[in-house]
Amino acid sequence: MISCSSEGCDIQTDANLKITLFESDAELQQLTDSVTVFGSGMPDSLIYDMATTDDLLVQLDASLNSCSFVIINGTIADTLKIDYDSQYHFISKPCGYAYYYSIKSVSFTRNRIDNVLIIDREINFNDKENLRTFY
Amino acid sequence: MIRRTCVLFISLAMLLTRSSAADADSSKVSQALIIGFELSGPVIFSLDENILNLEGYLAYRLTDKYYAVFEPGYSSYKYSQYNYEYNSEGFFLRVGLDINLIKPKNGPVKHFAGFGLRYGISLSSQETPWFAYENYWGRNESILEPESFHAHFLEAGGGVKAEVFNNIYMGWSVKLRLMFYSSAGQHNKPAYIPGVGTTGTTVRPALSYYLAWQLPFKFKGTRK
Repeated sequence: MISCSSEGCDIQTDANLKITLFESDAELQQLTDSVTVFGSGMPDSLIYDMATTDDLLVQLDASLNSCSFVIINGTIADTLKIDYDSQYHFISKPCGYAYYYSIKSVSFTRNRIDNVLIIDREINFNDKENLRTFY
Repeated sequence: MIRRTCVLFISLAMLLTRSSAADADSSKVSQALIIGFELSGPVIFSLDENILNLEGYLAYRLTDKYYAVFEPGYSSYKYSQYNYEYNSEGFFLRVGLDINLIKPKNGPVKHFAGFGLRYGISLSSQETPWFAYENYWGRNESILEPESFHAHFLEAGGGVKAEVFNNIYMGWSVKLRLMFYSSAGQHNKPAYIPGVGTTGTTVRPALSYYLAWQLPFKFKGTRK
């Protein structure tokens, strides 16, 4: 029995946590200051560096059930901690395995952040909004 | 879905068997048992020890036109690349009908050129001895223990079989396979299914080569 296949992983292989940034007194999503983001304990590995975006895509630690991010909005830093369950997921033969996550809870410092809402607990390849932060 | 598919095939088989019985009354029909095996599996294994596919071919010639076909087999598959290893093995069975388009002229039809439909079931196990995932936080390695699963699929194809010596047949067929159910979870979909092949596309093409021996054993009816 001879079968054919085409090789090559050309699709997304990381499930990203999507965090949106809102001004507390604004109805529309907006952010006035630049944002710097890095994983807690990894200040030398910036995920965003003075970025002018109001959507953040970050990756969770598949080997643990929680991880934290430092979000510096303007000059004020907050720490956002996410607790989650991780689940391996077979993508395809050329790509192999990745992880999906399910958010259990979120905690954060209130230096500048007013509140964080969980919009969608499931983190997969769809890049939908998961957390909404209010400043 | 599985029950409906089984009912569909059984009904089709009964319908064709009844039809073939009617045909037998009006034409001389040589019923026969055809036993064979698929050739390319052992050849591929001799070139690549990671893929073993052993497949039998058992057909019962109902009439010159209709053949009931059983294809039992065993597959073993190993695959590795930079970020994971994968093993799968198991047994499969395809059941269906072949329809010969060659019409009888003087005596029974000697050769086959036609198409066939199959329902297939695969009883298999898979394991991932290791896989690695790497992102911003670093590299994470893990394993997935062996897991049994069953899969169901449909196959349609066409081909030829020619008598090369007395009652010895050789031939080939081109097939398209559609897996419609697998009991493996949504997070661990099989990379390879015995009887189907590697996954990843909705319809899976395949090519088979056959060597078969025909055992004629019965004459039924007379030509009017």
